[in-house]
Amino acid sequence: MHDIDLIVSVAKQIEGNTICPLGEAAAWPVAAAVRHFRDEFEWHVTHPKEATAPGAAYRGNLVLA
Amino acid sequence: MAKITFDGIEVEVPDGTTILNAARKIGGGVVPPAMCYYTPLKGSGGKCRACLVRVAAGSAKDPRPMPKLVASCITPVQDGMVVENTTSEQVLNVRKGIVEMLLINHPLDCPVCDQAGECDLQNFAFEHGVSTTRYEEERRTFEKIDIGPYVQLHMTRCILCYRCVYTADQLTEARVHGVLGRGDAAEIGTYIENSIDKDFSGNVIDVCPVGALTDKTFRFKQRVWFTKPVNAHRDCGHEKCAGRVTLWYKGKDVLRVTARKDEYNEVKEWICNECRFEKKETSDWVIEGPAHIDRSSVISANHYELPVINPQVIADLPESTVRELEQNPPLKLGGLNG
Repeated sequence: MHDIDLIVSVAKQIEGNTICPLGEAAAWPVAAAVRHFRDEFEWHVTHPKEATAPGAAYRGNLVLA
Repeated sequence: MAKITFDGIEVEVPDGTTILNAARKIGGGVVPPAMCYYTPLKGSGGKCRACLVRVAAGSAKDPRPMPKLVASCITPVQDGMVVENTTSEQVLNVRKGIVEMLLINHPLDCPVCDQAGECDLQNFAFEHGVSTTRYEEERRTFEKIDIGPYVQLHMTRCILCYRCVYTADQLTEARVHGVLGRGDAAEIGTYIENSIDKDFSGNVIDVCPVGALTDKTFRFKQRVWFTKPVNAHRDCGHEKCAGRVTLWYKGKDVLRVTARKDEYNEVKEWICNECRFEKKETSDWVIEGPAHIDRSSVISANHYELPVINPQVIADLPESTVRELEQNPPLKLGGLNG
């Protein structure tokens, strides 16, 4: 689970500090994916069996609860 | 002339000076570290991001802060600029990230590296980095390459600062090496096994901030902190060669010859290959006396000279600022923080 925090922290270290804007272009989509879909990332970590089953799809916290 | 405020210290420098050089005019612990910038080499700087600073006010005319941190080694000063380096928490945190990024592909083989003890990256990581790494993947590795009779290239240690490329471009008659590839595949190389044997090519060893380019005549002979540096000169026939060097003694033997470096580990006077590699007898040289050891050398371990602010600058400061600086020195050595 701490890998999610790690990926955000590395993206924050890259953005704004690179010599070339392509560096930010690599960091922003990753940071944005985590920002908007963090619960889905966490669901994949906490429910590995359901997440890797054929046809599995994340349906949000409400459905799972 | 432009007047800037660097970490609360006012300094006046000529127009067109970079922020880094203005900070070096102040001296002491406020000077940002630099891994790729090298004063005598035109075009160097801006690559390693070690010297990033925050510009809190762009100029007297337009006092808005700059949106991003800027590389101080390539940004010229403007009148009324306010720069924050050690006083900005953001800059210090970003620098920890820079150390981490530079060390991602750097092997931690300092115990067998000839550069250990006088390595810019070692000093930078010690003063500004964190003591742990979060990197778990495989590092990129290369075979050692012998380029010419004097220089060995160990690409694994390279941080791609381009200093040696500029040196070869601006000093020797022809450059035979350069940076091949892009991104993760970028490497210093000679394309087809070529040898770097032009006169003055030995200076790439001095400018290399890490142990990527090492002296083959000194390889594995001795750790640098067991050798004694002595200043010496000889009447070198070459017009571009100053002939003023530092001899590194172990007992009676001269183990290696290097150019003299200043407090920022920069060579001011280049020396030719004959002085560097061929003249290793005391009788070849006129001895001047022991070389001054500054804080960037591990030889001065346990009696480090802490960096001091230029006395001329201190004279112009208000007394309250001086007292503040004495109580909270901007840089504490040996602070492996976090």
